[in-house]
Amino acid sequence: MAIRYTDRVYALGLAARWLHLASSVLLVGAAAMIVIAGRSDRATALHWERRVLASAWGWALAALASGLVVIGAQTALFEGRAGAAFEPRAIERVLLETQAGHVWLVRAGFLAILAAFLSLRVSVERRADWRAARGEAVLLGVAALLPLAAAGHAAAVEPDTARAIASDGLHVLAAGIWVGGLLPLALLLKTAATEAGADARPYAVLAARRFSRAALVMIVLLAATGTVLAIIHVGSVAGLVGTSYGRLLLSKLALLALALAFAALNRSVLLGRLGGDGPTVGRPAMRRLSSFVVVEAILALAILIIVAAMNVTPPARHEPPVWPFTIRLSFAALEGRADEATRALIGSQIAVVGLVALITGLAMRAWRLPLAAVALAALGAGVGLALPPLTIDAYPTTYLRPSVPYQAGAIAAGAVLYQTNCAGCHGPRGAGDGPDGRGLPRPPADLRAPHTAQHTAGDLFWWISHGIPESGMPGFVSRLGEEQCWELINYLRALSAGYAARGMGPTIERDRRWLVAPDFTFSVGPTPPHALKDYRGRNVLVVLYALPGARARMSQLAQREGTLAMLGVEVIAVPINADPDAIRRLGPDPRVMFPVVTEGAETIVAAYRLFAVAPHVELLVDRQGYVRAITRGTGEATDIDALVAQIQQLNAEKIAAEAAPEEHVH
Amino acid sequence: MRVARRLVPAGLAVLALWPAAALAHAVLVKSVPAQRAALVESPPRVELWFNERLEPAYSKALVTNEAGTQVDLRDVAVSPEDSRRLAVSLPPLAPGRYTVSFRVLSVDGHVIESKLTFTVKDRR
Repeated sequence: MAIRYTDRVYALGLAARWLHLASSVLLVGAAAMIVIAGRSDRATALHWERRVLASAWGWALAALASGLVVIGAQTALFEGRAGAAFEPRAIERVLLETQAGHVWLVRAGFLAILAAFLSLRVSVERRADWRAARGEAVLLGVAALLPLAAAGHAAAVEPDTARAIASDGLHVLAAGIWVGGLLPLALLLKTAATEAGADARPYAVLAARRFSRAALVMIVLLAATGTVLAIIHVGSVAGLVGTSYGRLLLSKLALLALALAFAALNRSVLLGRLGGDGPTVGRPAMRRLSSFVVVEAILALAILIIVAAMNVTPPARHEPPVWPFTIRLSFAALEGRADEATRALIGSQIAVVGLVALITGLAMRAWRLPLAAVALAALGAGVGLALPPLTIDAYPTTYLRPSVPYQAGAIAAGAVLYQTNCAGCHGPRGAGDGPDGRGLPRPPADLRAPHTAQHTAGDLFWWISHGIPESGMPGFVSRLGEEQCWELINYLRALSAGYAARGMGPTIERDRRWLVAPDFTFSVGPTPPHALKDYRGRNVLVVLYALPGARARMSQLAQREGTLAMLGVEVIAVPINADPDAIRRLGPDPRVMFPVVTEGAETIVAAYRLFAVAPHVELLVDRQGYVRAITRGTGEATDIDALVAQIQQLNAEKIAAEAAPEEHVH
Repeated sequence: MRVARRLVPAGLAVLALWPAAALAHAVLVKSVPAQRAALVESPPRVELWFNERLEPAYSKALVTNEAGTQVDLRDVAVSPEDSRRLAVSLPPLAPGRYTVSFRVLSVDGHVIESKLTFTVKDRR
């Protein structure tokens, strides 16, 4: 839960951030534009250069001044009180003790040096001096802009912090050169188009062409780094359409599309008409290009307002998305529906053909229009054919991620909630056969069915909290809190997984990981608690045992513990009766070296019994946290070599580079 | 049908970016004791792990009992080895319900404020 600014402070902070960002960007662009345009000895060009340098000096001062407001607002946020914005002590602490403060100091230093440098009158008679002086202004401006990336969202990305910061740095730099160059360019064109500015006309034409080329490179760079950053910070369609950050990004892209439309028009039509003299070429074209470039610049500065807002908005990845549509697309919709799958296949192929034809059409000169029309028709028909079979009903919470992790404790708590709230209709074991469900408009769902994989955890959350009116299911939002809903969902997930696990036996199936081992925490005697997750990277044998029946097997495991440890297996023994005295009961001989759970056994048993019910159960969990083999027995000693063979097979498997099981939510 | 099942995803992948499962997670990744844990022994400390690095100067946590009195040893600190971990030590606690309130600042300048509870059970 981020602290909310009050609206007015928020607006002020946003304005300051925007001014700061805009002036930093315009500063770099102004300095870079001079270098892009090159040196000239024409009077009008020299006059223009002086004006742009003066404006750069102004931007540097504006960046410093707005920077003060920004750091004040940040101090107020960090300290959690508005008054701190005006306390030098508090600001000093932020500057010296936080990364954002360090970055601010570095940037302010560069800005001050640049402002001082720009106010000096440096002699640039010689070409080398001109290059050095203008180049230095660009470098200082870039040095003041780039560290911004190390204080933004990119700085908190893990892993690959460096990649995120580099992408962000390149992104702001490219924006600086493109956006910041626009206003100086417009000024140059406007001046050169006047009667008095005739001497600088060839210079202006050359500058416009060079800038156009540079800007094209920058826009490609912006698109590439922007894509990387969007994947890092948004990462999903739900995040894009369902969070404030994602929607800000969408509006940014819409404005960008408009700005790019102007840029394309400027480049393709007006740029070619700058030379010569006539009613539509030469000066009139220059004037028009000048005003269109101003429009492009205004749009770009408007984009920076959105960027400033994105800076203070948590990235979409960290926010619960609210899905705005009533449907979503998923391949899961095709499961068990062969005819629909064929339809989707045919449609997709038609669409691909249409897409290829469209690209070809755009690349060709002859036949462009008819080809594009046919291509668009094919694309539309293909999409229209392929998409309907893939649609699944969706709800605002569909992409909500469980706030309660898939852990034994939550499953056990959910089991209790299930019996009181759900068993009446859905039946004590989830088969949909509860006595209260008989008179309902639709029979209660069989919760053990594998089709629950087609529904996200967020879908279940919606049904449980809001009910399914047409089938007679009530909403439980008033009876169950959010956390309890998630516990219930964790139980349902384990229930459905457990039903599917009926077929899992003592032999592993190579590379088939699907049954996630719910995490649990446990204590052994007075030692600090451990979690199953801590053993990731080792195999774990979870043994649910009961004495006296399993005495023989437990002795065997205790004797062969060394062999198992060498194979990278940890044994965790869980007494089914949750006896806190379990260690003593196992006795001193043979000595038990593996953990015997004395605290937390109850919940572990409650959760793992959903996967297998027998007097003695052993679950083999692989290095990635998936249950791979289940042995159900009575606890007599068995051939330990069979277990060893299974473990060797597990060790021979390559660890897949897929998400950790707890991230893998259906 | 096998072939079709493989070709459908291949063909369609060209068409759209699918809503993929994001890797994002709750900001508090893990805590010891866990949220709503019921413990037999009084824990020696509370440890909180976050998904982002923290600013030590602005990351605090405190433990209060049911009466709202602060019971921790007031030595809350971000771990020097792992700047995503915040820990505070505890004296031996009497049975009862305890609340851990935290307010942390991540390096990208976001403040996260929340709380969790745990219970120390009566041993009898």
